Amino acid sequence: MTDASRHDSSADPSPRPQQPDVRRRRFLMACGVGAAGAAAAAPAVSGSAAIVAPTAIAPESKGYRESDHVRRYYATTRL
Amino acid sequence: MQAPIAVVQRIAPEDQARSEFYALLARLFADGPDAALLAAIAGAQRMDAVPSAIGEAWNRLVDASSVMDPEAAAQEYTDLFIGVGKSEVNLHASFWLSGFMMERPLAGLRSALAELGIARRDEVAMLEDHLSALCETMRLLIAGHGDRSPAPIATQRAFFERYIAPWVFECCAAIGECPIANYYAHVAEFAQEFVAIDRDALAMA
Repeated sequence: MTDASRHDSSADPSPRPQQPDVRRRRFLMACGVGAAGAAAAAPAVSGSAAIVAPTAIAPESKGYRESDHVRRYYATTRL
Repeated sequence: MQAPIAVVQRIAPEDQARSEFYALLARLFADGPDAALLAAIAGAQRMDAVPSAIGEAWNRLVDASSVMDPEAAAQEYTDLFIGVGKSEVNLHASFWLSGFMMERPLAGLRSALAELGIARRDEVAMLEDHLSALCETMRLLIAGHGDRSPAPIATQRAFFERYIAPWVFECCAAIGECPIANYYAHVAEFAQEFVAIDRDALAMA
């Protein structure tokens, strides 16, 4: 728990796009990852990823799940 | 104070696209594509808006998916990535980082995942340091899941730089150079282009 706390206090827990993030997103868009190029492909990609029923990994989160204590931790940080 | 209801976190379209590409790579590196997945990729939009290396790689993957037979793809996946001492290319980070499976990189990864609140599902046989599992972790960090919020970019960058960047390019290059790689040469080429862009993008934030 202390580790998780330290980890999250070092970064803004808010996932909303931050001002310094604009450059990163512009770059992605310019490269075709985002609204310009990939957005058109994304729905089909997303659909295809959802269609599949992987044998090795469960469909819900395809391999990973949150551990309960951290889910609770996230809940407490969302004020 | 606690949030009264779970708020659906919206992420930027660029991040949505990133998470979907990671999801697709996670799926393709987990197992050979079945007919439905091949058809979905074949029917996906091409990236023609801006001439780019990733666009060309994507278009080649789309084209390859339209002519690839699922049984051949499954066989190719098995030949390339499965089998003890038989697989052509190892998809596990610990192999590339230490030369051995189950070595220190895997142990470090497990504690990093625990700190992020991510764990392998009980029924999953795949090791955490498999390229598919690492792509799936990126997807989860980028997009969140259920009432889990997307992770801050700093968290995404730290995970990416520590566990994916040091070896993924070499691994994808090895797939591309493998004589028996056909469909997966296109998967690896696209993976390389996409991950290179994401590496540079993460370094900016």
